[in-house]
Amino acid sequence: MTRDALVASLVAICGRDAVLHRPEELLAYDCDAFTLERSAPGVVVLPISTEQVAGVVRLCHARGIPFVPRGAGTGLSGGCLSSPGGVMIALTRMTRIMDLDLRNRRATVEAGLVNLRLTQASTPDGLCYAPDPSSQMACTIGGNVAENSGGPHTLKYGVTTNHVLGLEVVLPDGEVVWLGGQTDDAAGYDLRGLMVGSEGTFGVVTQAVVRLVPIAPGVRTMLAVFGTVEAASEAVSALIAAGVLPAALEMMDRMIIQAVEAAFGLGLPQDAEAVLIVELDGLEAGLERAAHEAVAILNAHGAREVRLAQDEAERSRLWLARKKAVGCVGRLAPSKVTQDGVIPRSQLPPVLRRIAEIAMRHRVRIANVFHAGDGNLHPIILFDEKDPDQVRRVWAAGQEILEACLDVGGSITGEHGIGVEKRDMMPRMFTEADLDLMRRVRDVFNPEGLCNPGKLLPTAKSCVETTRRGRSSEATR
Amino acid sequence: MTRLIVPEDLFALAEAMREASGEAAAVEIAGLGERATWGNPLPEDRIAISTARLTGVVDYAPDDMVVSAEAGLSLAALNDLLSARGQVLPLEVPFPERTTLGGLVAAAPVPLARSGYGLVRDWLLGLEVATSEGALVKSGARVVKSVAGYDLCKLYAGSLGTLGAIARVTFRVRPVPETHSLLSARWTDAAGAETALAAIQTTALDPALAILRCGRGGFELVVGFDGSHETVAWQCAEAARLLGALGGAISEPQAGEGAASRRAALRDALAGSPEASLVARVSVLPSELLRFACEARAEGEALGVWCEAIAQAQQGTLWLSAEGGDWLGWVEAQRTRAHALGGSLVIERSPAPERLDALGLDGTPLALMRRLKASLDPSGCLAPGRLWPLSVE
Repeated sequence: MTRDALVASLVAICGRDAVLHRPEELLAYDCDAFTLERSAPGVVVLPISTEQVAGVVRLCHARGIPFVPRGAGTGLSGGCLSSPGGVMIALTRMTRIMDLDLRNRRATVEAGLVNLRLTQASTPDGLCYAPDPSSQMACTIGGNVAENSGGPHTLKYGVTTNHVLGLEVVLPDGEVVWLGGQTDDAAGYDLRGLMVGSEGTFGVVTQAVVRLVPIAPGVRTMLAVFGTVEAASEAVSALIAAGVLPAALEMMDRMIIQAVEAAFGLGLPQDAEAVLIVELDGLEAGLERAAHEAVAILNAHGAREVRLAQDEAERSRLWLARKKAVGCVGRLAPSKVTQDGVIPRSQLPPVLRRIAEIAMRHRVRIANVFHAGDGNLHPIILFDEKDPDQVRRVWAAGQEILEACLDVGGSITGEHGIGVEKRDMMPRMFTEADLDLMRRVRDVFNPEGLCNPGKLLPTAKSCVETTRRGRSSEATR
Repeated sequence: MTRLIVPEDLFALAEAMREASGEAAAVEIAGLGERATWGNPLPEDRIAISTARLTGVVDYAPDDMVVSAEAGLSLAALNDLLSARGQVLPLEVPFPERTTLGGLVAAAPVPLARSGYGLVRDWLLGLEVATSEGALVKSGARVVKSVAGYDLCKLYAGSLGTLGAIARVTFRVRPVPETHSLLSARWTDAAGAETALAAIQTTALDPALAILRCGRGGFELVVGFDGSHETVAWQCAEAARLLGALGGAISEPQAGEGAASRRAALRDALAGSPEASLVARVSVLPSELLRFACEARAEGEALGVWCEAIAQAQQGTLWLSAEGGDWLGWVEAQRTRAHALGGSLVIERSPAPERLDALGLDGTPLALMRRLKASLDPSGCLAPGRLWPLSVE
């Protein structure tokens, strides 16, 4: 099929204004928020209904054209990078809330709905959608489903998979199916659970039924300032070990504190090496005592100062700073890679030391802002992507950080996904037998491999690619 | 004829799986037997591989609140171990002393305090599984958060031994709540009970469990609260006030030992009434729950079927225990009604398993499940026919 014929067919399905194919139109779609690799799609199509998505997928299936679903493009592992000449199905026009069922505390939404919009729509009735990735102002529910996204408050409330009841999916042959549904339990294998976190390789999610949870009536948000990262991480371990169950427990290190301070002017001490944001929520009854206990633990572990947010405005500002922290760091360097690894919570102090050592050895700057309560690290590596030597050092440092996570029994990704970024790290975490099992599962859903190819699982040729790592900034640009 | 193999370690388990799948048309993984009859019946002639000797605790890191253990350890034994460090795996499924961790994952029974703690899938972090090809494969991780690779833990949870033998499991755990209590309210009419169920959804009350019982005497709602002394006391008082104002006859709140033993009895009641030969688990929207239960009882009366119901009010999960009369016609009618409401009906106990498909799967989801089974168990020997009758194969 020629490109012109493909465009004409897509226009017939979705309409002229829903098909982008000129190079300048495609430029915005050549990567997600992981910018180290880029690849422009052949065509971008913006359907407005499940029927249109199914039509596009049927066309691709019939013609053997690779396709990839895309939400807002805020992914951090290159999960929606297109194959050369492939069709990108952008779901950003499918933003309807189909049903807001307060009595049953669930909502049915289209995949392109922005995460925060769902919480905004349900807040007047005292409910919210719990998973709150830092990109929640932009990222979509469909993207969250693909990546099994987390966020600060998933420490207490669980990640995306804990909140999805049903999914409408366009399978890679174009068939539309519901996996799970409106009710809490479905019979047989948990196919919706399998679909969540499959990074768009099992089909295109077009609608989701998600749980809404009551907004906690009481909340205490505190900021604890520490003279060393060590002391802050000891305090995190102590809070967890003491059985305090915060709604969120976040850490920011010195470089982040300074960047955030420059942007928001929260009055954070510039000489602090680390701050923790500790949020407790629940019923007002008992919350005061829990907050006192937390403060006592923080003080006992060397907090220089513990500040309690005095009102909702102060709390919101604190969270805005936290959620925009990665963006703020952007001021410090032309490029950045946000790493994502998970470690047992008791291993925070030694692993953070090791990350500092890795940064020194590879001569890169690394800032840390992360979900400390989950042991989910986000070292942000700063660099200039125009300098190939820096790019090589960034890759090497990133790799070593993930090795450090694996060495203490952790994971190479807690919420950003494998995508293209960590595909070749998968054999470090899983055996060939483990990966073979995953391949078999993928092939059940996606036997022709047209749906988001080249993601999540290493390919046979990836050994060769690994040696070229540090790599494709030239090759794919 | 069933032949029994009892492997002594993981490698022996994998080897037994490989050998058995070469020899027998049907291989069953056996735990303590509590849910051995879930799903459709297996062929008579089969090999059973028992996890009875796989009872080790692999790793328990209280500071990380993560535990890994072998599949044959019982849930009760695990919780004994955890309680020494003030922690718990809060999956209150019926008969924990007769439930192995492997069985807990494979059958994924619905726990009592689901409003507070969710399902087996919500606590399971990682798995090691022996496949019918004799490979030991793992998925998930031993940390509280991981999205590396497909989430195969979800696939194995509830797979009833059809995809592999669960060898080791990793769960996150949590601190034992400071205290807990129970409160119940009764109504003689369905309308009063339904008003209360709807009202609970719009209050600040955050119960760990909300169990509804429907029987001859009317409707009883039992709410249970876990947490600090302050939150539990406040919620008990608030629930008594709210439910009382809605016409409920409120019982004295129970705490301590009394609450613990009542809670254990409620937990075991989710396995169905001991007098019933048929137990079906239904899932509908919470708002449809009460009506569904009342109609099930009314239709039972018309068909000479005795029936009682126990349900999770906030999730819409309902266990119907039944006995006598035209039970088959009755339960098929209930499944039709559940499907019409977008829900499901799964048989957990049956007087004649060969006469009624336990899960009632169909359509594209069934086709996907059959392909998954064929791909992960190419020999087809693992619990054949359990999820869909062999005639469908």
